[in-house]
Amino acid sequence: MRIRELIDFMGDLTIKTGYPVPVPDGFSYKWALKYNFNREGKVVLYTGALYQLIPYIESLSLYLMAMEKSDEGGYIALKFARSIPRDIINKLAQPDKKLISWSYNVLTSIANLLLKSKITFSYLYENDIYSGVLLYDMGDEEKFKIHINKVFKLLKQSNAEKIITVDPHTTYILKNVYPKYIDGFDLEVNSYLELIEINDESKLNKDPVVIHDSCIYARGLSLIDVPRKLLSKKGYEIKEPRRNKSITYCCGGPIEAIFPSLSKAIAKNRMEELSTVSNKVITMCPICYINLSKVSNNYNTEVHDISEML
Amino acid sequence: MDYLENIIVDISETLKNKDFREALESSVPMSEKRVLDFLNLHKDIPKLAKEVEEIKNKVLSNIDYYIEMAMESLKSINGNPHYAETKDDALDILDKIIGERNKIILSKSMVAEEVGIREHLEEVGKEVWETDLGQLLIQLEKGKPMHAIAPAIHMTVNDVINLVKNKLNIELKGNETPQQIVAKIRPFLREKFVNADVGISGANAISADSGSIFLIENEGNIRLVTTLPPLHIAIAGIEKIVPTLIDAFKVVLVQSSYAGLYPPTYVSMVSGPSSTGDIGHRRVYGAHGPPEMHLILLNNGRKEAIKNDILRDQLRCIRCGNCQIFCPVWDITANKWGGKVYGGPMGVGWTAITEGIEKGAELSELCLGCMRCDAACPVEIPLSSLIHKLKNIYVKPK
Ligand code: SF4
Repeated sequence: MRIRELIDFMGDLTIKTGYPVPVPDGFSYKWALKYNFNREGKVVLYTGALYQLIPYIESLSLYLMAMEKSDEGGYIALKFARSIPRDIINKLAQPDKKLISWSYNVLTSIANLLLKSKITFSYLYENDIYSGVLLYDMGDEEKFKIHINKVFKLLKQSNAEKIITVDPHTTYILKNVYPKYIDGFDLEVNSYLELIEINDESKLNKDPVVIHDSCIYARGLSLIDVPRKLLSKKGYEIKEPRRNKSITYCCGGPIEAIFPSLSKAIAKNRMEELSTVSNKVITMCPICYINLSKVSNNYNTEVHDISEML
Repeated sequence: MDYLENIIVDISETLKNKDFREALESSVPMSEKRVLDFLNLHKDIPKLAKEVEEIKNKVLSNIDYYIEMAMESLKSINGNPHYAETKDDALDILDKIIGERNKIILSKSMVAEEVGIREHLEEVGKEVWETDLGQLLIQLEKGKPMHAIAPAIHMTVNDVINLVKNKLNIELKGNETPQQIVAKIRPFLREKFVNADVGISGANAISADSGSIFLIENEGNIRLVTTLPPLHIAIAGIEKIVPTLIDAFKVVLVQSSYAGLYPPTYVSMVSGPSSTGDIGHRRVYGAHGPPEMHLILLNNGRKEAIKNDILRDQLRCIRCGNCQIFCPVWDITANKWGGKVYGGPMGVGWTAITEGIEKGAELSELCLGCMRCDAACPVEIPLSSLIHKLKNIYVKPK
């Protein structure tokens, strides 16, 4: 029953708190406190909190695995986790501080890229809640529907007409899935990658980098050329793995919560291929980043989010 | 433990099996590249695949009509058509046809696996041999096929040597090349071909207008299975029927292309029993091939699936196995991520059709949602969204 338990746990928690794993208050917008973004406006930067959630998802799965001392994660432990108060879970499942600051850095880079490209936007701070993508991906349609109506309402309350997203999963879910579930969904959705411009073209010959296309950007949204153009404008020499663009290969991340060791085996398969092309791997999705990073030591590679390279 | 957890435990064990990993790693990337390179050169094939997609949709919208037509056509050429509603019905029909005959040879057929023909015949005391080399290895291993086209894809050369040595008592030193192993098995199987009373095959396509079945292969065993024994029985799912003989040939070309087997070494077209009119201008049956030929058309959930919005598209499947090779999960697990017979992306849908929607729903939870299978499928089965809909059923059973 552990997988059903896991799905129920994440669904219930999302309905209750807005997020699928236990998180401390303010974790999703702390990165933006140094800015003074408007909280309302036609163009809204909506992160869907996926980057910010990564450290907490990671720590929860580590905690669960430790609880059952098994490779596959002790989801029976979820039964306990559900009844334990959030702050205690937070203490038990200590997120990696480096990962938290990485996620804040990425979001800061993205905000700066947008500002540099003279794009005016507002940000919802405490209302920048989760998009519900994991509930959708695991098949919990009912709770997903309840949650996304909440998200849509918050976005509408801020007078949003256009949404800027920062990761492929949130982009896809808002653009292609929300309209199927929400009557009158009328928001225009674009990834920040489609909006930013690189003006300080650097001709410096930088190290070659290998692009790991996100499955969702490449196959779900046909967003393939954009990251390449941005990186080459910045002066990087782009190397392509054999399985790239529309046949890009998954990092294994989406089943990390359900089946960690299988997820890792897939990440290794992918990293092996990437590492033969270059030791600098560029990702554009937090799930790809974390899953590939976990195996990067075995292959002498470093993984970077595209925003940090621009 | 529920069904899904058992699958997870099994896959976890597999992850520790180095030989299994090595066998897949040494074949999967090559297979994928072969198909992609081929399709790059042969732009006409994806167009033909589009035609096959339409042909299949046409049949699904009028399945009873085409079943009837195929059966009538086969009768008109002196073949014996049968319709089996369930797996048990198929076995009853088979038992009646086979009767007291004892020595039976099989050519690889997923539907034969689905029905459990080999196990059943062994149980009732027949001598049964698989003749496709990969499938023979599966028989010796007592396992299940690990890929739609290449059932023993998970075995290393060493695994094969050990199996053949221990189970067939064929003398092998342990350092033989694949070529040498094949040469050793060949005489063993030769004897089975020659002495068999019954040959059982599948069918890759069936043309309703002529009652012909089409079979694709590289080994040459299917030719022997369908012609040497005095009785040929073919078994196939009803979704293998297409309207015309030309349509069937299109399926053959598309399937072999996406399976990386283009051009297939052999394509057999069987239209009823063997006959000759050479003596006295009278038609007599059983010249060199079998005088008796049967075709069992199996439903086993297919008609119900046509009416099911989630599963219907899966019935267009031509079993090329390309979605399996393309799938990052399958690349690690092979058909361990699957039901009794069918695994990988196509296997989720096929398990739902043939073993019950709940089983397919349980399997669906291991899908990454990466959509790579969608890019692989020649007949545009929306595999990832089909699997996603099954996840909804897993969470909230209907
Ligand atoms: S689902 Fe498509 S790709 Fe997979 S085996 Fe069937 S026809 Fe081939």
